[in-house]
Amino acid sequence: MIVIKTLLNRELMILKYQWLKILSFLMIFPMLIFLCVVMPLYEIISLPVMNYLHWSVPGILTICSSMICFNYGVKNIFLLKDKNKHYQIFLKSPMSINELILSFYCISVQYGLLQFFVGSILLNLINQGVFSFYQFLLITIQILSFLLFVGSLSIVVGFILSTYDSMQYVNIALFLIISFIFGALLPIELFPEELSMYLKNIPMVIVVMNMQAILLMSTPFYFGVLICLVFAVVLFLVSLVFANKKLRI
Amino acid sequence: MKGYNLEASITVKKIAKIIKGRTILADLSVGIEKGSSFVLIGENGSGKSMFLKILSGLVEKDFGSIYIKGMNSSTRGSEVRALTGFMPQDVDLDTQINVMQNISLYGQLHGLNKKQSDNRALNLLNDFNLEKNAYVFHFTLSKGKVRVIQFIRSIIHNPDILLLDEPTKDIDPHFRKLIWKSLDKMQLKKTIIIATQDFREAERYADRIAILHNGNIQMDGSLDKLIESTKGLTRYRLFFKENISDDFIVKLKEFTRIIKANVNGRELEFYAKDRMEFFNVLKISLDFKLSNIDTSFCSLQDLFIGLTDGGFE
Repeated sequence: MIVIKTLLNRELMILKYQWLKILSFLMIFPMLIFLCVVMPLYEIISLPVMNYLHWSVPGILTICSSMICFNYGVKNIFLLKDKNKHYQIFLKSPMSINELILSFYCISVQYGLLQFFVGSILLNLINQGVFSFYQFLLITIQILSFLLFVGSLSIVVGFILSTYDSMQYVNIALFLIISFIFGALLPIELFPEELSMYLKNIPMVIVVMNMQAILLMSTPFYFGVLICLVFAVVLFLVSLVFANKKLRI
Repeated sequence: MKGYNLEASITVKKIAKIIKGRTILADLSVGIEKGSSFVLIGENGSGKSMFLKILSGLVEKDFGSIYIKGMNSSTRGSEVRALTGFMPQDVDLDTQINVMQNISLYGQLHGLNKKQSDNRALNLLNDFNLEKNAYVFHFTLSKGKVRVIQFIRSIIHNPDILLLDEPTKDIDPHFRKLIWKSLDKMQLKKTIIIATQDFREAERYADRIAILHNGNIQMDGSLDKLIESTKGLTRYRLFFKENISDDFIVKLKEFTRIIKANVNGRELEFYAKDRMEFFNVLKISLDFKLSNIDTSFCSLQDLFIGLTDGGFE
């Protein structure tokens, strides 16, 4: 645990130097999605239960925080794989590969959560009290499970991908999948019934729908969160297998 | 003989490393005594850096076994890595944090707490007159200073085994002196393994020298022992007033016992074990406007060049 703390401290050191750059990015990213994707969709989507601009807030938060979490995860693994980069000092240290991967996992989830908090403040200001503090806490639980899954995914993808170019394609694909297939920005109900029935069984979709349900004061489906966590654990174990096969070789 | 302990600190048994079908190390075995300084010399790509990376636990060998202080490096990697300090050849400092944080972080990763690590980092930076550079980013410093910072980082946790890959490369004489002074202080307390191409430093510093060639150690021993192995092999250089003529080269070919004759403009260089052979060459040289001669016993550099260039036979 000490080494994990050391690596988290390193991130704090970096934040100390780059806080303005990072904070600016964390503020601009959700605003861009709001202005460039949600506002145009607002013109064409009308929901019977709620204003679309309000309904899309959890979706925007999910997309932003997952993208940040994913990118940090993949970037860290890329640096770790690169034999000429400074991340080699972690491999030279007594820490085991499992501890190292767990540390990077925590760091990527931590950045995802940071994006979630910054985005929540901004979007709540724009949409004037879109959710209460209690709803915010419930949404945080849902987003955490989603981020834990995305964090594991990022490590596996980091080991599979070999170039930064391919990472850009995966980024775009991930953005499109979360936005338009997982129902973050497009309501699942608008999809053909057969497809929406199928999608509603995917744990990540359930988590996104849970967040929208919390906004509508409905009860979330916690079993979906649990399944999402199981998926995260399984993926994390897979990532450990990759790591032990590909690092220090 | 220096008073280092004959107990083995590092035992390497038949290790091999193959990368993308190319054999980097092959069947390499060596034992390194506790508290000794072992210098590894070899041409570029001979596997020196790879050997150090394997010892540091950064890279896993494909075959063989390594025991460091009796611990198998494969099964007790964490403990082994905690015992070693490694200074690589390339700059691998973190660009996102300052010099002091770089050094301190390495110490913390090796088990020191933050306060201990910060204090030791500051003390070491003071020892190397780099305290003014503690809070700047390394990329604003000269390459020499960066190398010194890498050296400091490798010793922050006071490791028992120090692995240094070309430690004085790109370093000015002032810092070079400080590094050797620091290494001198550590001698007999730590096992120090240095990969270098600086023969003068190897001759001055090493208890034992190994010449790595084609992925294996070709010669290994103290400097005296290595030189002794040449059995009086001497290097001769003859300088002429004019470029050496073809007639002379033809005559030179008759002397079959001279080794590695090399004509370079007005200069002839060759090795020979028998002094008479030199006198015979000298005799014919007098007819070709000889201007000067130079003789010296085989140095480590001669030994290395001879060995990597097909041997002295």
